[in-house]
Amino acid sequence: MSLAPPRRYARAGPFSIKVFERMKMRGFVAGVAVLVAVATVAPTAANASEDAAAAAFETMSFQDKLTVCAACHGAKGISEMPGTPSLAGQPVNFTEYQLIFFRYDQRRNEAMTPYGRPLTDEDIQKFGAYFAALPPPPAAPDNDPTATKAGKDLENGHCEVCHLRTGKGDTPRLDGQREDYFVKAMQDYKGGVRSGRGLGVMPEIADGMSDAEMRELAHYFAVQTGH
Amino acid sequence: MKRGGTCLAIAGVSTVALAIVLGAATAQAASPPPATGPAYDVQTSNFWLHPPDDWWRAGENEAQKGLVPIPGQPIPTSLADDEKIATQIKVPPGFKVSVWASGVPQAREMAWGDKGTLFTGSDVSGIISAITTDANGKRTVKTVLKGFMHDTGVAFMDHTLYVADPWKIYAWENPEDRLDSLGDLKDAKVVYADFTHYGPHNWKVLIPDPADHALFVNVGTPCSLCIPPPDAGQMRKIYPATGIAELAATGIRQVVGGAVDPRTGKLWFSENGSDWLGDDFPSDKLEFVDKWGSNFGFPYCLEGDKPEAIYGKLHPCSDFVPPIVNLGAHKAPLGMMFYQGHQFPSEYAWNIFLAETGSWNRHTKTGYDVVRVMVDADGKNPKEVPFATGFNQGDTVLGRPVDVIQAPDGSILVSDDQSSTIWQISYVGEANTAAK
Repeated sequence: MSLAPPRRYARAGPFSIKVFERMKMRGFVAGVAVLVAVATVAPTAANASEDAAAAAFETMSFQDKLTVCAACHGAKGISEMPGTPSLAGQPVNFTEYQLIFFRYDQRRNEAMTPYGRPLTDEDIQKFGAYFAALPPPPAAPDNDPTATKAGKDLENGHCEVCHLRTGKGDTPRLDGQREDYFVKAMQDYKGGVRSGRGLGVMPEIADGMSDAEMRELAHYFAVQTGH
Repeated sequence: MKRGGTCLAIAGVSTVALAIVLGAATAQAASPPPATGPAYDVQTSNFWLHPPDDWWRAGENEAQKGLVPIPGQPIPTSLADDEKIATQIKVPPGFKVSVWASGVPQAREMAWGDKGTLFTGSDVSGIISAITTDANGKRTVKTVLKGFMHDTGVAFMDHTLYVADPWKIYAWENPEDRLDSLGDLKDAKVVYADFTHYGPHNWKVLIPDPADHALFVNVGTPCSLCIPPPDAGQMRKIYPATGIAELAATGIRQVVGGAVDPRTGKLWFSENGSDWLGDDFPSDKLEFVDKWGSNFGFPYCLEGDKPEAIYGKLHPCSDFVPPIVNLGAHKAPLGMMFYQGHQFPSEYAWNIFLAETGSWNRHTKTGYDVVRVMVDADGKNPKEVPFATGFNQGDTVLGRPVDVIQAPDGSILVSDDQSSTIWQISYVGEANTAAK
């Protein structure tokens, strides 16, 4: 009996235009500059639009780069954008490793890959420290105690063994994370879009989960305050 | 089926099974204290092929509860900090430590190309770095391949770069002519992939045997202490030209370093012993494959002469080959080399240098050094002494040595995947070193 190696993820499509729209609303000059560069390139040429976004991002100061992050991940690292994770309070090593994976193409995401490519080690260290220091997301109000109980029964100690509630380690904090992002992440692991670290344990875990189970766990973690 | 449920199997199934085989159990050598970790059943293909992320906790007990592997640094230590660390590494009189290359992400096993390029792999960064030196001696580090899972094995032989990911060995011919265009991993040539996809201890090292155009590679036992499946716990000799593999040695737990002695053509390797059996037991080992197909005793006999508490009942130590040196427990010995240069004083000729990356499963840190072993080519008269120490200062880890390789000038290079640095140890003569 043999196990396929962790699956590689699908190629990303053209750079998403939705980020451009949101940043125009907020009037972030730096972000608009990046995305104007993207929008002027033929949208079907995935590499060309990525190259343009990466080139523009690379020349920015760290503060301006943070502005670009905030446009999607929220001003205090607490995301109000569907499908985009909160980063506040994530362990230093976790954030750094994800950025490294975007840089080395270990993980592909149409919104993130152009920003990951030009990152220097210094950028990555600063991002890691910055997000780790932000107050973590508060627990969401619990509008579905039934789902919370179902999620808690599913969790039953299996997740917190690695997803430590101490703020340490390399594994991401799950408490207070957006429910829709949690489900997206599990779907990405299940569908081979994302492989995660090490032995591919997350794809294995996600593979055995139903959609309902993913939603219940997502809801359970969203309403936790954690550490 | 929820995967979580399969992780937490009932405790003691494997012990019960073994007891049936052994008949009435009697007390053996001292057993470890009561278990406190997750109740994983390690003697099953479910554990080997679908391991939980904390598979290394299997066997955790009261005495050693709370010890965890050291997290790898995602980002290289800065050059300025590296230069400070270099002053803290202690070496014998006449030797000097310097930074050969900084910012080499998670530098692991090293190999020289034909044209002066040094290649090295990485841990989960999944990249190959190439370090070139220009006419003025300036070094440039660049990423030339990416997308690996855990590419700890790198070798260069017959004009070809070989890289071992856990379950595949890849090859690129004449890479130095096209460093900027080695291509995507998905298009790369695979010369060997006949590995079962075990999880624990699946990372590989490649030990070239240029005289035979072959590579020795480890297949680690997929647990800390269990009877390995018959296709693991061994060293294979692989011929990339044909894809043929031979079974060179068995009865081995995990190997992440070795060298072929060119004087004899025989394989030497370092072996990492079990965790959770105590701070000072069992010892890691330096092994010599004097007879082809030797069995080194794991899990039945530890340290060459100590029957293991449970498995020792199955086979006596006299059935197995003892180590050349017991290095001490939890040193985590990795890469090694035979010194063949002329920069070091003549008493260093043919000595073994061995990198010990250092402990995680011990209350006070040990290893975190490079040791020197003086031994005859037939394995007789071994003597081990420290060579470069100070990579840990008490509980603080400055760096973790992984591999050693000789440089063209006769100095030695030491890769370090914690600080992401390649250190250089040179002999400059006692008159030229500042008093320590």
